[in-house]
Amino acid sequence: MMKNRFTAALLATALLMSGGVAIAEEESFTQWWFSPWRHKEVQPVANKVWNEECGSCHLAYQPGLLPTKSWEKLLTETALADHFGDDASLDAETLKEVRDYALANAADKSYHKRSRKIALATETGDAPLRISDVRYIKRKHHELPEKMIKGNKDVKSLSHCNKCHTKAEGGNYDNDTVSIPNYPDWKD
Amino acid sequence: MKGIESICIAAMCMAMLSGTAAAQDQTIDLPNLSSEYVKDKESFRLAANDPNILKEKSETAPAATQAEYESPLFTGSKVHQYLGIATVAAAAGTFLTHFHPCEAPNCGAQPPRKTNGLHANMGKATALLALATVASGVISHWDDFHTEDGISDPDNQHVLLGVTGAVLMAYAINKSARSTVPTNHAAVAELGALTMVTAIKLTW
Ligand code: HEC
Ligand code: HEC
Repeated sequence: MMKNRFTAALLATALLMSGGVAIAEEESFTQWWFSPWRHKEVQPVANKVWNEECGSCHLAYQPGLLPTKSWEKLLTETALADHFGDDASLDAETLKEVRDYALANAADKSYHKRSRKIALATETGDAPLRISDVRYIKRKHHELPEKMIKGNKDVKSLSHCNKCHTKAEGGNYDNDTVSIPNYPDWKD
Repeated sequence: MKGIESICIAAMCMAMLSGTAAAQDQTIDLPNLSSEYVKDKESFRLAANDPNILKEKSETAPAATQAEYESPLFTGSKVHQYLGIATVAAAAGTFLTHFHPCEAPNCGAQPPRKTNGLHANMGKATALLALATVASGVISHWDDFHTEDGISDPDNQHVLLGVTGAVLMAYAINKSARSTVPTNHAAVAELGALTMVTAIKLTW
């Protein structure tokens, strides 16, 4: 009996350890493991400068939506001067703050499930510059017809996560919180 | 004997898990649906859609109306979530109501084996809930697991561990339910429950 229990405990430990392979620090592995809080979504933004500077033209995307290597490319002086055809330049100090924040909270630094999925999907290959280019995100939307995105005057683009994901500002992208403007019955 | 059995199972599971790292490096050359349908769709690109959209002021005020959105109480994935939690609760209840028959030489006559007591019934309920959880997961989260993502994918791990846990528990419960003499089934059942809890944690 004792021996069996011991084996079970040993195995349980092995299982616990295996879950955390290759994830770096946001909180430590043990903090995450023993935390009762949900980590299914994406870490919400908790930085005022980020919200202000990156939320003026579009949703202030959570850093956990892209891996470190993507933020490294996106958040430089030259890259921001031509940010998808727009000028999103920042002064040196603000840029440092924003960049440090993104790098510290990138997908590959997070234990949140969607971030882990994004980190895995971007592990190999070139760093995507768009969240909507990440395999995981693409796959999640492949069934949506164009008329609901591009042809939808209240959406226009998949980049506007918050038009359909009603809780996107809080980092929640769950299916259960989706509501597509002008297509209340999109599920059919 | 029992010890050896569970050690074998443990070894099997560990072997499975230790393959984790290696498996990532190889792409398994199976045709899979997901790679078929992930074709580049231009509609994914805002730039390709309407370059001026972000510069325009939006006439509507979506933020206000969107904030009121309440997600429905019952959805497929919530049913799966509730069933999973119920399974763990039932497993805990089963554990707490267990008892050990007297096995020493001077025990005397033992009462007949109870296959209908609280512990036995909770055990059966646990097995049913575990199977229902697996079924509901398959139905409501079908698009969350893909072989191409490999074994390090949290959803794939959730599926593997969840199914393994359910099977281990069902095996242990079935073994005891069909036996006319007391059986050692605790270790396998507990292992199953822990495996299922691990599965939940990974995608919680
Ligand atoms: C046109 C509306 C629309 C836009 C814009 C959109 N999504 Fe979605 N998204 C959906 C729908 C609809 C689903 C659910 C698909 C389903 O039920 O299978 C979804 C699913 C998801 C999921 C999976 C949710 C789950 O529970 O598994 C994630 C993650 C996600 N979207 C992220 C994003 C991100 C990040 C963006 C912005 C870059 C975005 N979405 C933009 C409509 C949209
Ligand atoms: C001047 C307006 C503006 C500002 C400020 C701005 N962006 Fe953007 N952003 C854009 C435009 C325009 C796009 C491109 C959308 C497109 O191509 O459809 C974009 C796209 C993006 C995308 C890709 C979205 C996708 O499709 O997946 C990311 C990521 C992004 N921005 C991050 C940031 C960050 C981080 C900041 C803060 C440093 C920021 N942006 C500030 C205008 C801006």
